[in-house]
Amino acid sequence: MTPVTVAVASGKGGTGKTLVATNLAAHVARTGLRVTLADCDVEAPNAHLFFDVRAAVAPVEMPVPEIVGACPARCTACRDACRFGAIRILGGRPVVLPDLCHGCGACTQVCPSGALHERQVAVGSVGVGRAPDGMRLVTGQLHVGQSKAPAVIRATREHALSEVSDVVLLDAAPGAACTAVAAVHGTDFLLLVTEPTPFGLHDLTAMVDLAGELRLRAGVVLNRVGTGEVDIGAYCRTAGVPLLASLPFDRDVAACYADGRLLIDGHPAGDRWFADLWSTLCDHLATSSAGVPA
Amino acid sequence: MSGAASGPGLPPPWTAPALVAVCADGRDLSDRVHARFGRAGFFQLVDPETMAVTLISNDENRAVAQGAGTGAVELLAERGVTALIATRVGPKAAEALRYAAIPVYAAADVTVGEAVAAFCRGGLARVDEV
Amino acid sequence: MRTLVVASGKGGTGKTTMTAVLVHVAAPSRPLAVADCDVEGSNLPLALSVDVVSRTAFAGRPRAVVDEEVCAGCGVCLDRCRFGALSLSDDGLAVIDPWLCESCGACTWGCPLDAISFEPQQAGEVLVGEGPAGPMVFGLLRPGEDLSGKLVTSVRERVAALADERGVGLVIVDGPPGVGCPTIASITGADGVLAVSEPTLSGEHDLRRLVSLAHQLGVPVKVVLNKADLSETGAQRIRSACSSLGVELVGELDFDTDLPRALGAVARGTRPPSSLDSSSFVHSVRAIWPRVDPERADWALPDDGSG
Repeated sequence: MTPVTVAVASGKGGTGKTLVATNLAAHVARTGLRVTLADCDVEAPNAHLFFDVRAAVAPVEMPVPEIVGACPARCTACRDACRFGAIRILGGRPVVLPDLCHGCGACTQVCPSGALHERQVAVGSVGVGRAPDGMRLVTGQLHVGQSKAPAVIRATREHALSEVSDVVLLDAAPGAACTAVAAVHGTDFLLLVTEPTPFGLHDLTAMVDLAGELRLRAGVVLNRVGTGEVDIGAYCRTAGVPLLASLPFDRDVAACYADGRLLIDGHPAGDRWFADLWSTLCDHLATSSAGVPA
Repeated sequence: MSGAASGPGLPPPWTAPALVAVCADGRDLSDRVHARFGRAGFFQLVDPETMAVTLISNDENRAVAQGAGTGAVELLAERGVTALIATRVGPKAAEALRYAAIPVYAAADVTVGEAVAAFCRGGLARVDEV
Repeated sequence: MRTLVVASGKGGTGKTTMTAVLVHVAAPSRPLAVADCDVEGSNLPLALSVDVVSRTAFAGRPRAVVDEEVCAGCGVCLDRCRFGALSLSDDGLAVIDPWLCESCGACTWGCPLDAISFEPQQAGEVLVGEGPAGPMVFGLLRPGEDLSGKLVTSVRERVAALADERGVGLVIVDGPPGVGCPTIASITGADGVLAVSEPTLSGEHDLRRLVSLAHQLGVPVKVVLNKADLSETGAQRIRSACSSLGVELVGELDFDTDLPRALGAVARGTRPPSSLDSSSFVHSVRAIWPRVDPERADWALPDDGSG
């Protein structure tokens, strides 16, 4: 059985994307559904701070070539094939620079001598664990100084989708670039978290455009109501994107988040907010091919 | 200001015929050392014996989508460069420079001429050693 | 020319607002140039008034295209692609999912008919604007593009050239969130990073990653704690983190929800710049500026070799 996949994304950081993903995942888990939360914000994975999870951590590896045999004199085939500048002729022979390698294998394909061999190199890690309420948490983490975020995001998604679940929630990287696309591509629904400020509206517009290009169904969660006066609801009506929920901002919310507590545990209204969001989201899923998870 | 490599003292810190590449703002010894390496428009190659300057274009590398820094290193290695003076180089270019056995010396807020003179006196710190 | 980068390991800490206020505080005393290197969400132009005077196309990586006249649908390319970007259409021809393609070219080497080639494509733009504080350069990346690091480099080159031309001694950069390639491109070669943090667990976690990256690149860091009044335990966490990392905490600012609106009003010209001076946030930033100003303050890496 294929799980329903919902990605939580945001055009700018700090709008409350992780807050929405963690609370929604924990709420759905408590309704008895099998939930996997995949933290695909691999440059700054923070979902794990909200759960008491002991994770089994596996490295994310990528194939990187190395030169193990003798190269024919003046052969530059591998250097010429590499579009990432990861193989250079230095000191008269090809040298592999693993940091630039994308692991595409073009070099080994064109090597006429069999001098190239691929080995696996760690670029990040994926941790898999279970929270006390049964939710599974899959956390991708990019090694600091590494730039292969999409590879770690792909691995995190694969791990999450291999778990037996009714619902998989993916916490995507902020922004509308390749890292966000790697997390949200092909999901059943995209939750876009924003705030009622000019910055929030500007970045939401970019995300709605991206959802259109990726042909994803999307809905908006307006967070921090009261911290700005931009009318996100009016934008949603014009853009034809449903506004699924509005979450207020108050000091209790801020204090919960600062201390790493879930709103559904630490805020008097928290449970109701996320129950309402889930029920509204299910109404939208019901009209899609994904269907309502049961 | 002391002249280039003219004073007595310690032997210069190289053994092969030296050719120093410098990332620079402009085309003369009086121009300043510049921070940008991989996407620099050109490099000054300075012969520290004569202080003669040759310019080499880096246009081919700066235009590529990815791998500009390592391409610049390949260019310098092809030209027989024995040392690089830069404000700083990025981590990927630094790795390629290690493979090419081109040491990197730091200079900032000085002219190319002053930097090469300081290099000859052994007065620049290497920045690529752990 | 000195370059100060305002960055944050985590988004939403108030980085852009901080940059706009720093520009407001620094601008009257000397000429400066401003760059927005948060190319995936360029918001600084919304907070500082600016008239765009030039736009330059930014070339992305080339795009792989299948020549449908030539492709015989043999499927060899499907096996060669490691990113799952190729499939066979209902007509039995190879199709490329541009969202999964990394433009590596592995498919082209396998194709017996040379049916796949690359064509150039535009990935964004570099824009130059003029504002009351001086020139501003910013980048716009098309949604879904990578190469944000390269675009950041173009923005920094452009602003450095403008600063040079006009004899401007200070460039203030609004950096991207995170610690990935755009951040590396934004802070490499800068004189200092002002890290804007917030009093949360996530804020501390991401601050540590940013400081570690900057020190790896040899760039010193100072920290300003924003929204300090939201959580005393969180604020204490950031203070301890700064002292254990050997970085200076230059100040703590209270949460100010009115400021973005006030900045916006000044940017649109509906209120004079002097109206900002009544804000206690702006007042506090003015007080910490001498400790941050790269032309006056002492910026040094921690000497314990932790970088």
